Amino acid sequence: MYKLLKANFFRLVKNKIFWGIVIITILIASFILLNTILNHQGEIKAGIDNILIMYINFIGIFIAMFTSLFVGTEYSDGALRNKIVIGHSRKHIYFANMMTSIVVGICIELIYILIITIVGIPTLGTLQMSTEKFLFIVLDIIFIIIAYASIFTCVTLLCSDITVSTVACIILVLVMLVVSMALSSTANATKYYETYSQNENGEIEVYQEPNPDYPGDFKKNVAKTILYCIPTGQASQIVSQVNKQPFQMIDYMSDNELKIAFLYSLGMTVCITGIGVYCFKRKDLK
Amino acid sequence: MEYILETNQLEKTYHHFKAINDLNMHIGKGAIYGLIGKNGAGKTTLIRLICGLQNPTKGTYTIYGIQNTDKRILDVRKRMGAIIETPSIRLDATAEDNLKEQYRIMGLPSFDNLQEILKLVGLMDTGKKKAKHFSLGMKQRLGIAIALVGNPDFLILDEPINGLDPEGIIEIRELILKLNKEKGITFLISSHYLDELSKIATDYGFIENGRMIQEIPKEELEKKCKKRLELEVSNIKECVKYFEEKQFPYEVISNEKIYLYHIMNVTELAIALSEKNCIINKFEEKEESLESYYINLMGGDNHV
Repeated sequence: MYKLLKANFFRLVKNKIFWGIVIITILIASFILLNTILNHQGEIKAGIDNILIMYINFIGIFIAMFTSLFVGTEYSDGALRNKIVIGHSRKHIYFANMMTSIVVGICIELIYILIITIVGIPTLGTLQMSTEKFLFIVLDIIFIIIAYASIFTCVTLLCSDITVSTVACIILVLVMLVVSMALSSTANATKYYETYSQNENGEIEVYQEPNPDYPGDFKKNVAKTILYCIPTGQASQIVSQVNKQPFQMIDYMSDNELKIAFLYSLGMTVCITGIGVYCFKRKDLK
Repeated sequence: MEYILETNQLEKTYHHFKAINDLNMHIGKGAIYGLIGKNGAGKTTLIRLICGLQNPTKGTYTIYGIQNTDKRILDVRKRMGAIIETPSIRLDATAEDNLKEQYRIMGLPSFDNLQEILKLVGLMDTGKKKAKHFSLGMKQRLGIAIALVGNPDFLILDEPINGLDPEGIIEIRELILKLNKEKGITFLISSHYLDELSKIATDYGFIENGRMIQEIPKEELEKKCKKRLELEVSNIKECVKYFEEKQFPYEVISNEKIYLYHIMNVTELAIALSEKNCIINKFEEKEESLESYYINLMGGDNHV
């Protein structure tokens, strides 16, 4: 597999799609930074927490594009066929391509984080969250990238047509986004909501009233599990958790859940890769 | 005889369609094996099976004596190269870069012989020209060059001259002959172009509806295609005796039928045989090309 990885990385250096995504990442980071700096002019430095992890919301679409085009080219120019003919196992070909996608995903995420950190800390202030929490978020992000790479590698290697696989991967990201949005209201619903009233003395009193739209514990847990398993869902939950305002009555991911969120991505990766390798080994190639 | 490739009752089924059916094939070391069959006969499917792109439904094949179900088949595949339908090349890379990638994929420590391979296929002077600007013949030669990385001793070429102009056809033909003679590479070549194939092949395999109809060495085929007199005689023993005496090449087909591969005057022959109490009941003069042999073999109403 080392030989295949080496060949892939050499190809990566000259790959226009990869460099295109790197440039777009730099532009996104610069735009977000500039926008945040302009919006916080004259205010107390609020830190870079919110914007540091924001990129995980976009990364899915870039990994989808990269994987489908980079791996899809293997099919269209016959390189994949060539690798099999000269004795590389299909399992190794599968993992080498998946590893390449993971490395690219981590690479562009790192570029984004580096730009935000280097320019953001002097202008917006340092991280407000604890280092421990930040490290767990980084761990979750890495596993979200791995999950994305596993999904798109599976789709691309099981679909021999580069155009179809590219469209399928991009549609898949959009579908995952829509499903995540649809599930989030159920998964984040609270049992109670707070109402405020003023008593006779003029003091504000807080009451907790049952939420009539609460779906029930079972439904909520199912929605939450699915949401955490879907990379787009978990990513939006992490971003929302970091951005959560103190008085928001939304049950976002807890700090404890944040620590184990990567296990959901890991589970998803193992399942998808298992299915992908099994089917790819049996696929009739042309 | 040492076989590079052998298939044993190989079968490939797609849903209910048998693309390859109980197929047996034998390719000897150093051979240029021409696989002949019409469109949809199963040539490319057979090549895909041998190359490991598809798994057989039934039956087995061995490459260098290693069966396809054996894990060592992956190591054996390192000794072979293939071009299936279109050459596997990166169009946005130069000829040299394409070869370098193949060196990396094969895990070769250095780019030794790279220039030699380019020279061998006549792509030495392509410089920074990208493969997408190559002619069809150049792309085909680049495909062969890629397949030559790692010094394979078995090359599989599926329709290597499809779409090539006459000059390109000659280039590929000469390259195949050169590689076979100078490097001892065994070839399996599938083609529609029978005349072209007949200029290089040392063995033939005729395939129809996924079945191997006949495997025949060049010498035997040439003998069968040679100008001959097909005779039906009253006394086959006397006839054979006469041909033996005269040292005429012949082939006994049945108790009445004999082929004479020596062109002579029929009247003289009839007189000579009648003196031996043998009468010619029927005679026909025949000469076959590879094409007519193929058509006769396939039943006469099929065309390549």
